[in-house]
Amino acid sequence: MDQLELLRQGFEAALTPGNLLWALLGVTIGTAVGVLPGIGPALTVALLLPITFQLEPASALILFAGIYYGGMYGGSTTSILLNTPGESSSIVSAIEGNKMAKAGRGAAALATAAVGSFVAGTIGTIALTFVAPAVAQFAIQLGPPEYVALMVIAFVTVSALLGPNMIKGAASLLIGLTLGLVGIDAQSGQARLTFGSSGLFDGIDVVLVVVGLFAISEALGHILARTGQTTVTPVKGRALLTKEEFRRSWPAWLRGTALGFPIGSLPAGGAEIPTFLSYAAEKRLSKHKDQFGHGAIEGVAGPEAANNAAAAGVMVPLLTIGLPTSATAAVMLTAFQSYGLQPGPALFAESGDLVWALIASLYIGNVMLLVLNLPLVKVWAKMLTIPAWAIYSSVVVFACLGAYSAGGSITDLYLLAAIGGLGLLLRLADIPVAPAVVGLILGPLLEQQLRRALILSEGDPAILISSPFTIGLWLVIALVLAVPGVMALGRRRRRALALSNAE
Amino acid sequence: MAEPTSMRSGHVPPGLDTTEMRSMSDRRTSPPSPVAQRAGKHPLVTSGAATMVVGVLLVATSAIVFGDAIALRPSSEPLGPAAFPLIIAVLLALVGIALVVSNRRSALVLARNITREGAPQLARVLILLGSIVVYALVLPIAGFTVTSALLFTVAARLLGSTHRWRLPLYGIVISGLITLLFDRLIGLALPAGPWGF
Repeated sequence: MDQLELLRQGFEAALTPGNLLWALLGVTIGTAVGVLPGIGPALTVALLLPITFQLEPASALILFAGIYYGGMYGGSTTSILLNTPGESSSIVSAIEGNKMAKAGRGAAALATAAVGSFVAGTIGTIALTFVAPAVAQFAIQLGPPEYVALMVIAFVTVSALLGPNMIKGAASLLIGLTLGLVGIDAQSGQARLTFGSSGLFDGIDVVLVVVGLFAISEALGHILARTGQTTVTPVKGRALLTKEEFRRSWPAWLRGTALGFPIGSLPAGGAEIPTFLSYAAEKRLSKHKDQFGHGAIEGVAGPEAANNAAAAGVMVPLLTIGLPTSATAAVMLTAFQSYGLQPGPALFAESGDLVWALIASLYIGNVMLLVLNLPLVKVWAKMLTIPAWAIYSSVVVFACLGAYSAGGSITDLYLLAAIGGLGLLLRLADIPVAPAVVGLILGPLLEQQLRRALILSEGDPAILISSPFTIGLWLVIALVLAVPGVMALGRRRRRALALSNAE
Repeated sequence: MAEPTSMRSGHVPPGLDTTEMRSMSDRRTSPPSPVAQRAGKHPLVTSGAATMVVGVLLVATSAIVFGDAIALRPSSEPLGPAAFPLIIAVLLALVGIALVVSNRRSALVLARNITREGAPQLARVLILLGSIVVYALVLPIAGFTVTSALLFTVAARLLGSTHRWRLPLYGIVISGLITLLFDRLIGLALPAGPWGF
């Protein structure tokens, strides 16, 4: 077992007292920021990215892994207690979780979410340990035509699955693709869409876009809706599971994990689909069908596990192909690049030690979260009593800090204001913002691979369908576009959301 | 809900059989966005009108991208620097038109029932966006700590905080902590004012 030896070395690197301290710091501030309402993992990671800029790569990655898992955990705490899911993949666990919280069983909901996240995260990370190197091995053979097809799959699925309909998903994706055009074209050296401003030559930073679309627009949304004064009294109690609750939870954790990791690791995935499938499966299999919609614990345990397993799964295409399939993964890709790492098939060969240290710190972060959070649930829940105006005016300051330090120029702050305004418009229009983030980061890569493919074939577009693998991928794309079943999943999500909002 | 049959004749745009906001809000089945839900009395109309504005923006962006792309010099590659932007420009136009066409009814309804109900909130949104622009201008002169404390104060007021003199103090504490953590501890060089922070 080659991987085990490499993983052992990874643990050796991650288990130094200094690095453990970084991991602890990461999960703590990740949870603290992630727990704030309306701030999902993608935004948590983007807001806290500047902290990691000045560290050496190994420590930065470890701190970063902690922030990532902490942000995920904090996000699910808030969606259960407040029913304000910070990102679409935690919508489902909010449905039953919030019902449980309202019925005074919030502590049990948080406990099953925490333990479920731990179980799923651990199994997911183990699967990642074995799957990722194999996929990387396979991905080395992929050429530009395969990359083009893979990225188009990611585009089509991301716009089909997020948001109320495909047109709105596509609109968001195209906004991202357009933002991705800005800057100097690497192949020809010509400036595109820069309007002569030298601040735009390097392109628009992903962190800037994430912070604008998620953070500034959230603050603006609160101003528009006059909800800046609201404070919430969260549920109290100890996060413990009774025997009965545990007995009902653990099969759901395992089923959620079994759905989450494989689907998350597809280059099409994201964490949305598995959470819905898991919810549907639990509802069908449960002996307590009547409790669904009124706080069934399986309905929290399954989707929460699926979400976390999918988050580990998303690392597979991210690390091995360099293909982010969620907004969070897109921010992670930028983070890796800022540490001088380029995710892709060569990553394991070239910076193996760092990757294994990262994977090891995912295990460590997972354990730390469980140990920290079961006793600390009350402390995190206290953060929800901070008035909204204080949270969001701090978020605005942090957003400006993040935008300025990611781009390093005043132009970035102007862009931040513009993108924040756009984000509010998209929120009003019910257009999902995650496809824009994915489009922004994948657009330039798609163009590069497309142009490379056509250089290889001397201009013959037939190269795009030249191998059985590419033909298969294009068939999948046609299927996703043609079959309305995939769309129905998106609508089911809307209905579920409507249901939970109605009460 | 009662169908206003008198309005279903040919002189109204197709699909627009009512301009009454409430009946439109009731009729559509899909739920509106949470932000739109909180933003006005008729969230579906607000949401539809916002969608149409996005559509118009996409069409306008399409024209800009197109104009920028055709001005690029062709290169020796089979697929030059203009090809990808042109594809995006076409898609932007198509999706933009689709959004405009499918949501024009909401925009029309909103235009016919225009009220000044949301105007103060909208003004506050614009003030915050303007404050970020001012922040960008003042940042190199006054330094991160002071400018950020001011931005915090403005944002908190706009978000509806009723505190007055306490806000700048909170602002100084928060931006001071950020400066300490990011600038002094982590070594991220934040812009300093004439007083060194």
